[in-house]
Amino acid sequence: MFRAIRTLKKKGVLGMNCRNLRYIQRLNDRKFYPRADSKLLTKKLAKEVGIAVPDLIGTMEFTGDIKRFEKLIEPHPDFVIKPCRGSGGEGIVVIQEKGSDGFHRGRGDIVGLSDLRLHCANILHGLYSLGGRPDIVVLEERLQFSALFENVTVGGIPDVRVIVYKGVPILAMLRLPTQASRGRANLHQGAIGVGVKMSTGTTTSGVMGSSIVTTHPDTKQKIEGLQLPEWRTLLATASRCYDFSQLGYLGVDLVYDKIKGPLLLEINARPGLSVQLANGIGLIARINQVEPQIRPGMTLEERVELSQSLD
Amino acid sequence: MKSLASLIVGLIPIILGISIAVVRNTQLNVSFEPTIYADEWNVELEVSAHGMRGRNELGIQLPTSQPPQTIVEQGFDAPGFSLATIRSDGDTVALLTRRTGKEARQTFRYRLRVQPEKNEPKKNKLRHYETLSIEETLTPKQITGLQKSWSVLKKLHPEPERLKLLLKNLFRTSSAKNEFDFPELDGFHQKLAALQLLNFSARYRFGVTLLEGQKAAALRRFVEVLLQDDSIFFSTSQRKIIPAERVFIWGNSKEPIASSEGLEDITIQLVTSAVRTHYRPEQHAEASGWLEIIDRFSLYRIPVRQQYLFTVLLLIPIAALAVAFTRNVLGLRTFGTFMPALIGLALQQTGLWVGASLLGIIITLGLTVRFFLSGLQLLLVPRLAATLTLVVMGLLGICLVGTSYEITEVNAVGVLPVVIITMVIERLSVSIEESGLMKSFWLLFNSVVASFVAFSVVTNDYLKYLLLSFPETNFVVLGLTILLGRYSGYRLTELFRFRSFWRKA
Repeated sequence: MFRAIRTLKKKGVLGMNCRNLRYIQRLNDRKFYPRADSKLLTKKLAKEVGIAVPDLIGTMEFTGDIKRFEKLIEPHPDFVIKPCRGSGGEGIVVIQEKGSDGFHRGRGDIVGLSDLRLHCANILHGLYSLGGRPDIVVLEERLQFSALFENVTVGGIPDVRVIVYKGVPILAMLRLPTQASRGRANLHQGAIGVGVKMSTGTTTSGVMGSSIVTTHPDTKQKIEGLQLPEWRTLLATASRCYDFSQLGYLGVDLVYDKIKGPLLLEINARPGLSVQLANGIGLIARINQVEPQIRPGMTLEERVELSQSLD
Repeated sequence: MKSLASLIVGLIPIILGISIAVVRNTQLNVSFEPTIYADEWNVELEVSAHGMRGRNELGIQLPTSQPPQTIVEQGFDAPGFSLATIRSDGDTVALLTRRTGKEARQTFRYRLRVQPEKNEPKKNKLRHYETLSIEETLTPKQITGLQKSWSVLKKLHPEPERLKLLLKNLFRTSSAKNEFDFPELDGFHQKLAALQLLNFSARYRFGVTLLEGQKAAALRRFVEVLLQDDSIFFSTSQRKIIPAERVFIWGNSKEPIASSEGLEDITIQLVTSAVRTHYRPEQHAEASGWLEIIDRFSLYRIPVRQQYLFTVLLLIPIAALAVAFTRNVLGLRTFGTFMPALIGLALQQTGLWVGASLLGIIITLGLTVRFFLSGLQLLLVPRLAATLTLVVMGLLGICLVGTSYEITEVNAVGVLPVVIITMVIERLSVSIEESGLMKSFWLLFNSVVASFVAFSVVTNDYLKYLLLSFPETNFVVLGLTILLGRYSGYRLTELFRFRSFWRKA
């Protein structure tokens, strides 16, 4: 056991206690938390600085608003229901198609209007929100994901998680939904996390659960060596999230839309630790590497440059 | 800086707590060792019998308040039976009767709380109750033998050692060594006559040795011998002198049952347990000045009933510390932050296995019903309220079913934290829907382990004693919690989670 602790320390692997004490508590001012916790606020702030985000269909704040649900989704053949203050991808429902028999969630899963209304009510009552507080339902357009990842994705949208330390992206992973994750891109729900080289944006090997994988378990396609398009733009977008959020230790989730390119999905003030497993690189090691090179008042260009020099 | 500051802030209460405890120990004579002072004992007689149809009657010979113990409190537990007490010849018999008995097993309980007799013992209270004719009971050879051996023993040993040796030899087992060549005596009559011959006032009594946590004891024979106005109690079964404050005399007969009618297969059990008080005011050092403040800051200053309440209350911080440990050091994830602490405390009241099985039943029941409720598509808070109602009804149901089968353990359901159970059921069912069975049962397993850790902490008798006798233990708990709050090392489960990093190496 002590050997394990020593090795983890030597490799600079970040643990949960250390993350909370040294990084989140010190670098993330609590007053800026809402900028990450509320998806609506994130969306608003990001839009202001010109970061592309998925379009908002509408919001529902009170139980009475649920009556408007049908009207809101009327013009949209597909959409996404999200809790505004949800975490870990919980409470997100993706509707791919409206049919005569109900709403299609993909893979033959069909739900009725009453189910969706109940789901909205659950969100409003805080079932998925941080701390169980009453929440707001966010209705968003469904993304048309880029064909690039089609054969390594099952039933959902892959996203890119970037850890941004004091404005510098330090570690990233591509998250691929699987059969087991039921289309979700969260690692603890069974998605694959694939390491990404900071310099080039090409993928290395991935992890699923705790085992290292090189092919997608459902499609059997290779997940190594994929090139993430517009890598520099993506890094820049992630880096700019620091500017509007002022959160020094940040997780940024981005997706590739077929038409709009990289979109900001959400930012996270308490990003998970799995990115270390996906890359086989410890976060403390990365932070120690980047820390001496960070100067106050660095331009976006400089931060992206620094980020790409980290491999 | 922050970590140094919190290290100091954490260490201050620990040092403070330990210092006060040391002062209390050295200056105020409060022991670090849990010892039972000022004995007060619970004695319970449990009679179980198969009741026949028709009239059932049970007469229980009651002990009278007599030295060495005084009865402080007593009471009966015999549902469906009427009670009458009959006094005759100094004996008291409790008569339990029922006219229309069904054929079923019955249990009667008679509870007593006894205290050592504090008043000065009456002089020469002991007479020769059974004045045996020595010449008729003992043979001339036995008489001369006894007198010879006794004169040898008398020369060698002073009282009370002498009496102890005499009793040991008189009531020796056949295989035991006969040190002073005492003649063979046959039966209890001869042995009592031998004591009379040697000028001891003695009689046989039946009672029980007061021991902590004694179950299924029976009435035993004691020889009560008067020695300089004090009664010495010698247990003939244990063959040793039992200190008088540890003997509870029931009466003069072996069986506490005086009469019975319509009852068969009667079994009798005695249970004894110490009423724990650790404080003996009369032994207390006079405190003044700041020592007095420490002395006043003691839980023994409040009434016993509240003391018990406070011990439970004082256990909560410790349970919370245990929970913090399971999360931040072991890395267990549970349903609700303090759920394991409250479950642990509840289990402490019900007993581990009883509580755990009741919890298991109620959660399974709750989950089943909860899945039915989810079909009704209720709003969150009414759904929680409905689950809560069902949990309460379920507990009531378990209680009623258990009682009708005479499983008295089920009454413990009353102390289970219903709100916490409801939240567990809700979270578990949401978790099953969201993340699947495997993940949910893993979380459940985590919760069970954390609850067990909390349980083992709150059931630790020594901790309980420390908290009650040294309230400053809480400073230490606070300090440890602060130190734990600055623990930035890996959690145990993280070693497993990040195993790919060190297995490769």
